[in-house]
Amino acid sequence: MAGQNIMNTHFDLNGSQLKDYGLDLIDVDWLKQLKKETLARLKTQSIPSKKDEEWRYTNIKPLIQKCFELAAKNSISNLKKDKPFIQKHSDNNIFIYYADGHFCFMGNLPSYIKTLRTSEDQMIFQTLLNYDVEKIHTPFADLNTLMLSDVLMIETLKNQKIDATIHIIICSDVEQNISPRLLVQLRENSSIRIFEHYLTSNSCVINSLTDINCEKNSQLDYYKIIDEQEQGYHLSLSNIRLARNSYLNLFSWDSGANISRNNINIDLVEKNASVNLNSLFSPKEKLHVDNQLKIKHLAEKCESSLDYRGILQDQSTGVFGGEVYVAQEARDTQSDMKNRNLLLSDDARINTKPVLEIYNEDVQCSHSATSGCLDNDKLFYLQSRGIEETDAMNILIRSFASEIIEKIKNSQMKRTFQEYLVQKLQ
Amino acid sequence: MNKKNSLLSINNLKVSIAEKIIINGLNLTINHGEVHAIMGPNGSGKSTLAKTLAGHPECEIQSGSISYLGKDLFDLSVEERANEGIFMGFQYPIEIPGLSNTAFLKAALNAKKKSQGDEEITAVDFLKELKHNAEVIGMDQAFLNRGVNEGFSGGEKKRNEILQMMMLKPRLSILDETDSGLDIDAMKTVANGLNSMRRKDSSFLLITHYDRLLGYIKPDFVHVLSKGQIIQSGDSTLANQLEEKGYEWLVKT
Ligand SMILES: Nc1ncnc2c1ncn2[C@@H]1O[C@H](COP(=O)(O)OP(=O)(O)OP(=O)(O)O)[C@@H](O)[C@H]1O
Ligand SMILES: [Mg+2]
Repeated sequence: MAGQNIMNTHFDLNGSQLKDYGLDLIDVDWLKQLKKETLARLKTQSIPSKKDEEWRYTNIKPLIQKCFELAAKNSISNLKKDKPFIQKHSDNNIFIYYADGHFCFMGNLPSYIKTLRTSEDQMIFQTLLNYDVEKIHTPFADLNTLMLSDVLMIETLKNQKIDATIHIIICSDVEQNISPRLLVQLRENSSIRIFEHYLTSNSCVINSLTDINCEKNSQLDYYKIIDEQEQGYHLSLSNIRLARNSYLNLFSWDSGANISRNNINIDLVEKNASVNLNSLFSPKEKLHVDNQLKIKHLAEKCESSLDYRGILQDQSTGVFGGEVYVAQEARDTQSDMKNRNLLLSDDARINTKPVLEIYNEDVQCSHSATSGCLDNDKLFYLQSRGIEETDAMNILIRSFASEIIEKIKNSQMKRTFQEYLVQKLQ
Repeated sequence: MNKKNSLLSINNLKVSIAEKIIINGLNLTINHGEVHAIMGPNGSGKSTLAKTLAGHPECEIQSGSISYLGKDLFDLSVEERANEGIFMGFQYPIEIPGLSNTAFLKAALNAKKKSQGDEEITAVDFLKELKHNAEVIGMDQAFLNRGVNEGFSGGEKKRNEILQMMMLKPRLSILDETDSGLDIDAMKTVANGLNSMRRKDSSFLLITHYDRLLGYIKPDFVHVLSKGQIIQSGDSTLANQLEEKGYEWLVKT
């Protein structure tokens, strides 16, 4: 029975801790109210455990402990707004940094980007944040809401095609709890490119929440690199909604953390929406990466394609949980889900579980998962051309990752990922 | 044992794969500049011989010896053999998606340079040579940027083997059925490639089932391999005889 007690442990947030989450400091009434409601709800929820199917392979306890510990400490990063690495915007690149609990930048932001701290118009934030919480209210989303101190919103205009890359760099060099919140609203027939880059150099806990809404005919080109320190914890939840004819293209690379967990929920809610997810994860040493994807086909003629590749070294561990749901009304659905893993050591582990849940017959769905070590035939082929064994192994590891990177169409982002590859897998 | 001037000398070689003897007492000497052809029924051990020479870990040496350039071949690793000039054209070339053909060739060429203590080849020289060789064997530029053999047709893969051979300029080229799967024109261009490399210091071991390729590149010797042994050797006319009569008359005697 003791086990059940553990399973039912509730978030223990007693009153004395409240001011530590900055609640007292907030002078915006609606936000204070929102946080209070969130807190009340959070207190009734249980902390997930390994008994929950969704958390079976990831022990979340140390993360939660650390999360509260750090939130209470409320330490401030040494990164200052005027640090020289903070780049100035150019026509093609907008740089926004998240440090010390808020978004900062050099120069003026274009009108389609706003932050909660600097925006005159709070109305839209209020609406979207409330809407959001109603919809998801998972413990970690609630934690984000409770602890957030700033929000970044990107909201395009109808027909606005933005040919710039929005770099969102979440960085820290001290031990702290970070709760970035990002809202993306793509209005009809608009397009944009976003590059989210997590760069921490100490044991941080990051609990980020991103909410994306793509209206009719819009296109989002979305890139993500998670490059964190061994002692860090990374949690990210993205909720994405795609309307008619809209298109999401996502490339991500997660090189792992003490625990790194990426949840992506995508709802294809209207006809002809499509999503293309390509991801690499490459934990080393004792790092852990957990990918959880839920793709819901809720309308006809939508397409989803997932290609996830793990490269696991040393005693690292990985999880791939991919779920594609096809509703009864989602006729003419096309979906393909792949997970391939390269296990580079006898001690590396991967748990992979692709799931298809299909409620109509007019679908073309496929899924596959393979895990193994480097292919001996390929190795021999390279060696037989004079390439030394260790070089040949590195070439094969890199070529495995390159297959994903080669799919990137934007040349600047392709280069960024290629450079990251050289840095990570040399 | 090690015949003077010989490039390769195989003595009473026995090789097993998965605990089954495949090469069973084979003797063969190849001198500098010679072209040898090996023919023989399916499963007789031709590819196993080629793989043994290249150093495939699957091939277990039971007994016998091989000397190459006066050295004990078994002392050399797979990559050392390659860098000493042994090249095997694979019967079934391997696909390596994600590694471009060009990057692959460059890595191979530079590995060889490194082993010889030479500087890396410059990008300009490399591309010039690559382009030239691709033209000789009629390979379109587009193939150079594709993944190694990725989605190549059977014949295209074989041409790619020849391209690698031409870039690496081996002393001993072992071509395992490189002619199979080539169309008539490709056969000619591949033969051009081979002939362009015929010099005093390059030798060939051509494994083939047909005398067609041998019409373009006249072998000095033709050997018949059966059950892991050479049961007959002759000059190039032996290949024509085999094409006509098959192997049965030899195997029976
Ligand atoms: N990995 C293996 N495991 C078991 N047997 C093997 C293996 N590789 C080769 N053999 C066997 O060794 C024998 C010789 O094979 P090999 O490939 O050398 O023949 P070959 O003369 O090249 O034939 P072909 O003309 O069909 O190419 C065959 O009987 C084959 O089945
Ligand atoms: Mg063979």
